[in-house]
Amino acid sequence: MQGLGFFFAISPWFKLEEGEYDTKALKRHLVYFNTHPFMASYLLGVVARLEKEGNPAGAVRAKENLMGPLGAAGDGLFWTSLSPMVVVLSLSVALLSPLAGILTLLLVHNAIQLSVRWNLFKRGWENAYDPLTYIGGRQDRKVGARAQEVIAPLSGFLLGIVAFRTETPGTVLVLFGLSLILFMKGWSTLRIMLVILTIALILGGLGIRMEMPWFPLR
Amino acid sequence: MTGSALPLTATMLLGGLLTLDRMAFGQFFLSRPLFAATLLGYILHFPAEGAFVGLVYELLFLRSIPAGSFIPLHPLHGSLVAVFLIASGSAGTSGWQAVPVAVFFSLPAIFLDRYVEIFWRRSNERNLLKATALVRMGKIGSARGVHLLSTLRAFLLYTAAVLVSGVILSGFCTFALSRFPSFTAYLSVAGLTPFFIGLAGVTAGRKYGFGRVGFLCGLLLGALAGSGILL
Repeated sequence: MQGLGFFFAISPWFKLEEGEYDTKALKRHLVYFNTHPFMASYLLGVVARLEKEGNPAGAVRAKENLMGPLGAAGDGLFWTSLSPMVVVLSLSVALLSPLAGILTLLLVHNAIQLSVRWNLFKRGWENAYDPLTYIGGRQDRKVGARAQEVIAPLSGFLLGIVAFRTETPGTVLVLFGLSLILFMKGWSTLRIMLVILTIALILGGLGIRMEMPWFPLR
Repeated sequence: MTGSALPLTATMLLGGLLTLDRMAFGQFFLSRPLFAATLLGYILHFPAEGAFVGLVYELLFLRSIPAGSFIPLHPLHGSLVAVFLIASGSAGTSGWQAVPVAVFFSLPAIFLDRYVEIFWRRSNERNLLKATALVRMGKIGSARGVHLLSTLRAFLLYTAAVLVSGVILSGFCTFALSRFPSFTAYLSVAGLTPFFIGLAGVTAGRKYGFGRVGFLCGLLLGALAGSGILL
């Protein structure tokens, strides 16, 4: 998994002099490691400080005990909340201007993730002797819930702008509504896709077509 | 095929390079379809079509997340192949009409992408063992080199995967459209289905609190913007 990456990131820390490394310390960290990639910075901070201050057992223990909870916290905060919010926001902007859309995607996402990474590295260093307390006190769930709430109006905007840039907004809204109902009933994406594709092909066969939405290019 | 050699080269190189963003480097979102497809669209002179392909793929796979050690379907290669199908003319028509056809025929590329990722992860586990052996021998520089070599291998592997997807799917697309020329017209509705489904997936489950009202307000604003009243 990410063991090789963690080893690559931490290895300059164990450099003794030109070309010489603390081999024992490196061996300790060349093991299985899997967490959320952005949250790994916290463990880098913890491990760097504990190793520097001569507590290798504590560094290994912190890594083993925290990679799971950090992975779960990162998945909840980023993959299901902040990242979808940034993507839907960027898609809404991209419908007005593709270039502005990709700039929004890169700038907003990277501003968030780089600041979180740097902040977590610093916090890891500061809380190296009690790493769990800081992680337990973070408000990741609340931030995630707020981000999820922002997704709803953005999705509505996206649907509205696409639907009303086609010749047949009614067909778009009806097919969207049907997909939404099926999702809420717990149908899988594949099953819904097959049903909607079949309906869409029948509509196409009956001569009911949709023009693709247009983009003003800037 | 000569006419599509340059677009294919650009597609495979971009596919290999941008995959590294999600595999080995900073996860800066350079591997997101919105960025990748739009960028390839700009390179191949179809920026608006590229952006719309990116939009459809983004929405369709927004719920596909790499939680824990689960390997989800990743939309990068599919979106790039879709833009390639548009630029190479394999999608039969040009411009907007080609978008639904290209999205439809490019979808299988995501399955090859996942297969390659599983293969690469296994090879990475072997690299970890190799690096451990090198550290035991005190060859730290070589052990760090294994990480870089693994990154290079990922680039080559994914470049090859995009090449295979691009060649097979463009051939299949051209063949299917030559046998069933009316398919393009049928797909004019069907090509947008990933968009509805993706958007519905994003919206479903957000039924509490501010969600419904927010969605309707957004829909109204979008309708006003889309019909040219607001923007």
